[in-house]
Amino acid sequence: MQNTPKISVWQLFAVLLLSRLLTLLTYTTLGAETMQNSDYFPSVVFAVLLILLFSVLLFVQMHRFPGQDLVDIAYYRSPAFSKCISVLLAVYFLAVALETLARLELFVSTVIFPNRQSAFLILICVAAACYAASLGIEALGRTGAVSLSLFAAAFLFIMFAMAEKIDFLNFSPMFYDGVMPSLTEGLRAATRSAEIVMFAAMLPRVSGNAKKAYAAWIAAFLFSSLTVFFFVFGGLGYFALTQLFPIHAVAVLSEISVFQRFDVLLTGIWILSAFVKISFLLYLVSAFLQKSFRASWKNRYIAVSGILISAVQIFFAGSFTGYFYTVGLWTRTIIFAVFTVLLPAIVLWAAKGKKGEKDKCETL
Amino acid sequence: MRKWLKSEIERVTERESTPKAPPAPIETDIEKNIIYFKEKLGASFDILYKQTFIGENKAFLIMDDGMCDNLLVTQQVVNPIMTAEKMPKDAPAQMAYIRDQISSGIDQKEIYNLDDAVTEVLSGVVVLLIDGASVGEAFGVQGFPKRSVEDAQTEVQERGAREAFVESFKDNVALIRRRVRSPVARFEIQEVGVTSKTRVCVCYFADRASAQTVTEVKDRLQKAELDVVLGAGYLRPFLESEVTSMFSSVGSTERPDIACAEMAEGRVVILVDGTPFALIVPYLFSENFQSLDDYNHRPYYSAFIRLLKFLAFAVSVFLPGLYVAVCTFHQEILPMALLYDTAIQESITPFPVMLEAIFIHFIYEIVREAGLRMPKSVGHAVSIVGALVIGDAAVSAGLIAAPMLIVVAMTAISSFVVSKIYYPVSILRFAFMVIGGLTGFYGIVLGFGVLLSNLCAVKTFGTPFTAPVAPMHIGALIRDLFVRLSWTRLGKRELKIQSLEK
Repeated sequence: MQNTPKISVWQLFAVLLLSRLLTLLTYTTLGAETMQNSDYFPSVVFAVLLILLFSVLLFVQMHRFPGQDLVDIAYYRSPAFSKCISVLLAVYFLAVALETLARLELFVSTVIFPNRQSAFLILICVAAACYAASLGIEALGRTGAVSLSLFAAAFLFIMFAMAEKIDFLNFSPMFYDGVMPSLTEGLRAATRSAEIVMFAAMLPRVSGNAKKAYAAWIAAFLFSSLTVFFFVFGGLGYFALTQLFPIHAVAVLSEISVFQRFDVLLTGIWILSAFVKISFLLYLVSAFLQKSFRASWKNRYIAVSGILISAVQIFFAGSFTGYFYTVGLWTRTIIFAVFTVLLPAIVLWAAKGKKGEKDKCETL
Repeated sequence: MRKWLKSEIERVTERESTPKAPPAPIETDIEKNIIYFKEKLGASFDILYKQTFIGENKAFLIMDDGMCDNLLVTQQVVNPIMTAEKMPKDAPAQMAYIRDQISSGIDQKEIYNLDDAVTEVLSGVVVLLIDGASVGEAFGVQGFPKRSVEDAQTEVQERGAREAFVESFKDNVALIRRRVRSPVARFEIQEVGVTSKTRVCVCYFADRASAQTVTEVKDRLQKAELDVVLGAGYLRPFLESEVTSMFSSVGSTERPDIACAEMAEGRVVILVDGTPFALIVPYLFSENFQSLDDYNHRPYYSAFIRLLKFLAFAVSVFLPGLYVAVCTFHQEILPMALLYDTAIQESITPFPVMLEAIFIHFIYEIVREAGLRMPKSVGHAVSIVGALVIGDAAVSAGLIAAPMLIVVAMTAISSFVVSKIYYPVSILRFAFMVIGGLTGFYGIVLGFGVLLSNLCAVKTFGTPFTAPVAPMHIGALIRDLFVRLSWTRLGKRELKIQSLEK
């Protein structure tokens, strides 16, 4: 195993929080269940509980194999098994990158440039992300930390501007339609948290207390989601649910004194976050392929991944964008469960007892 | 294609590599030594060979006429030797007697080979060779013409010292030494440049600079493959980060007080003979926004100036691009009154906004460059013509819109606020204008992302270029970045650059 550069767990926390906030920011009513706006609050709590549940094996992994990812652990069983796991994870990260790109494309083609072909815009985004990914994890970690600071500053500003529009009458009664809509929405939010898999993948590349950072990430997710929903539904009420991107609608309507149109800020942090997330995912794809295949092809893996997601997005834009938004909740849940529960369970089970044998052999 | 380009570059830049011969020892036969000198130095008129006799032994004093102070040569070398009363007869004993008893100069040393002797002569040293002695003696009597210490030209300070580095690096060392009278200040000399043999002085505080950094600096300078070094800029690429960036990770200053401040923070300062600018490594991005006056003003005002500089940087890089993007794609974000005014002005110009912006910035850069390179009297005339042509005639003729002119003016003035990074900023400005014109706000944000990640990837001798922002060091951030603490707190502990490495 080669010596990989490391980032601090707090830089990883920044990148993952940025990634999750982007998912929150790109929340769209497209394909979502119709529900009372107050039901979103318990749905967040439910999502956090589900995330914790999905993270059980991650904690087991951190405890039993500190500083190792699934590929390293699978290596205890056999190199071929390790290669299979790395390919599977690379494909998963590629799919998440594609989903992020699809969401960005939807935003760009509906809000920023409604009358323009998005192929060129996709290409430059992916090219920029490929360049950033090629700079390595240290650069990405630092970029993520700075971007999160900018994100937080801009978002607080928008929320502050929205504060005077808050009206508690905008909130509907909680659980008016029963608990089911909240549970469903909670499941949807939890299964959109690919950060669990990303976190597990990054374990060999971070230094510091990973458990603490993960706990902080979950707390930040809970707090930010509740805050966002409070301002969105407190300010816009049901109107928010008629908008394609409710949070963008908040930014358009918020104002302080003579200052208006904070959607520019939101658009900026949206694009920046998407750029960081796609770069990070491309880096992960490359890192996993490097681990099991030719290590010197780092930039080639990134370039091929970039070309692949651009091509899929450009040539199948309509169907893929639509797919990601309308993909059935259960399909998404199954895919998510495979990578957060099934795959770790298989790898951990397969490596059971093998680690001790391998360590013994190496000592001898 | 890449291979062909590489071979073409190598072909035109290929240097004849001659195997390095071992240094020629000083012969006891003085004639052979003189022949060696004349072979090496040719018929250069400025090299003087003064033949004399010390006792019964033939001797030569060799010097470079323009590089030595003739008065010192007479007082410290020629007169004492010629008037010595108890001169021994044996050549080696004569040499020892001259070295230990006769010469009144302090700067003198023994030389054991002729290559060193030639280099010393070319450095302004008088070399004495005596027939029968296999050792030479070098007397430091340099006295070449040089500029006196003057006020800084490129780093003007309101309340700082009125002294700047000069071309002579010994004077520069003295300027630093005068400010820091501590034994921890170290000044080590190296030679770079195969032909020029330029002297380079590596300066640092022994108790603060990391030994690893000092060694790496010396190592990189040693390995610098250069033939002639005529300025500090020649060495800069050898000290830069591995990641290519528009922003240099090697700082430079012409002020000895700044050099001292940098050394006090554990950095290494490199003085190059013949250049009034010192190089500084490791150098952080945030240092481009600092000046010595920040530490002479009250903290609140310094903090204000710092924020102003960050704002000016943002304006100078992004404003033209944002203006182009807004006018081309995102008109809806402008308030109605501003939108009308801008639209009216832009509608009468024949060019698209992006071309207009590029054109006028291009003209501005031409005027700036002309004003900079021309003699001062003509430079003013160029500025006036530029201002009249661009400012008045172009707008009156309807070629350029007035708001665009305002944007250019704001950008130009802002870029001078952060003058240390003027060059990368001016290039980035053009890039963002093109990006803004083609892809609007979307492209500008992506461009910003690329720029940010590029800056974050740069490491300068192990320290991230973007420290203390990323990786974040709260202590350093609130101490001396966006704000500056009072000296009552700042003076208690000096920040060391090594503390920002992780």
